[in-house]
Amino acid sequence: MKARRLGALTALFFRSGSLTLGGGSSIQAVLLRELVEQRGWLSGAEFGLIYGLARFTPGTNVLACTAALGWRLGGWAAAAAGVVAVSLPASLLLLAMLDGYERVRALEWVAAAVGGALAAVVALLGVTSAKLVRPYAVQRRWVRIGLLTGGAAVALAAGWLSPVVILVAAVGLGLLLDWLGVA
Amino acid sequence: MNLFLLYLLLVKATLTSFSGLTSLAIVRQDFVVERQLLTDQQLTTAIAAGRLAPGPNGVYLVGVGYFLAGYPGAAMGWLALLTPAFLSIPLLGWLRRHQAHPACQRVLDSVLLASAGLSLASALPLAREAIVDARGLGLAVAAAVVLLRTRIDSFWVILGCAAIPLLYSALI
Repeated sequence: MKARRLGALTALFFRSGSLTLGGGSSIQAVLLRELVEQRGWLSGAEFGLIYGLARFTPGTNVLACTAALGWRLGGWAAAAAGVVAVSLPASLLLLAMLDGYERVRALEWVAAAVGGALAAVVALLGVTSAKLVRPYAVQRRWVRIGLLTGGAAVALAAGWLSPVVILVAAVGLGLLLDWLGVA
Repeated sequence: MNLFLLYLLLVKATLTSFSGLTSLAIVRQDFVVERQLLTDQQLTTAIAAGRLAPGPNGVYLVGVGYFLAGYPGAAMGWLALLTPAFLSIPLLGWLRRHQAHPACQRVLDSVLLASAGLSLASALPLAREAIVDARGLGLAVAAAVVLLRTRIDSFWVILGCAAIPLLYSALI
């Protein structure tokens, strides 16, 4: 059973690392859908905890997220296998592309396919955000959603603050809202 | 270049950054400005190829390692990319022991809500690249509807959205 889950997890990490364009956020969005919604191996809250924790871990967020998810679901072996599976295909593909990068990018059909895949990734990221916020929306915690989710989105999109500073500020703002008695 | 030193310099960059491309400033300072072992053009090519490839943005370090020391250098770049990821495991172990505490729960609520905002903001640069016409908008809306209304595997949604413009450009 353990070996089967390790195999399934590694295959999922491999697929998400080798088929998902758009960087770490899009891979994490795929993992949320697969691990929480499709397979039910983790609750949304636990995924959210790991997602947030990965932002506080030095290095590449999605690899920290993968290591933590792998460890939570299958121990150290799954963590190591997951980190390798997410990063190795992209690394090998990048090495293959380095010399002919400009030539590949100029191909019209490559640009068309990449554009289509990115449109899907944009949708996936939007849907992921909505799903993370939904439990708080059900409780009508609108002020908190507006200030913390909206504020974080605006601060990052405008380039005012780095993600780590935004998360630290969100924790401070959340504690202030608690102190003021805002739901 | 000595491979162990290369690994140490690259891991210094990953350990002092908090997302894929934020290590860039340190990498440029160490290899382009101070040691002059890498050109800005090579660095830009590594980043651009990393953006075109699937997977994490931080994978550009593999390209940096390759330009500096061939395939062994690429392996050092890859190891430097992986090393900090395992720090999340003791952090998660600590958090899981304390997450039932109300104060910890309130902090986690704030982190989760802000993370949703960060995820939304990270979609914007991609949207500027992908949604430049009605076709891109149509694909994004269709993908969102499928993701919200069905349980279809997200990989198929992404592959489907890549295949539609590919077929269109092949037929026109």
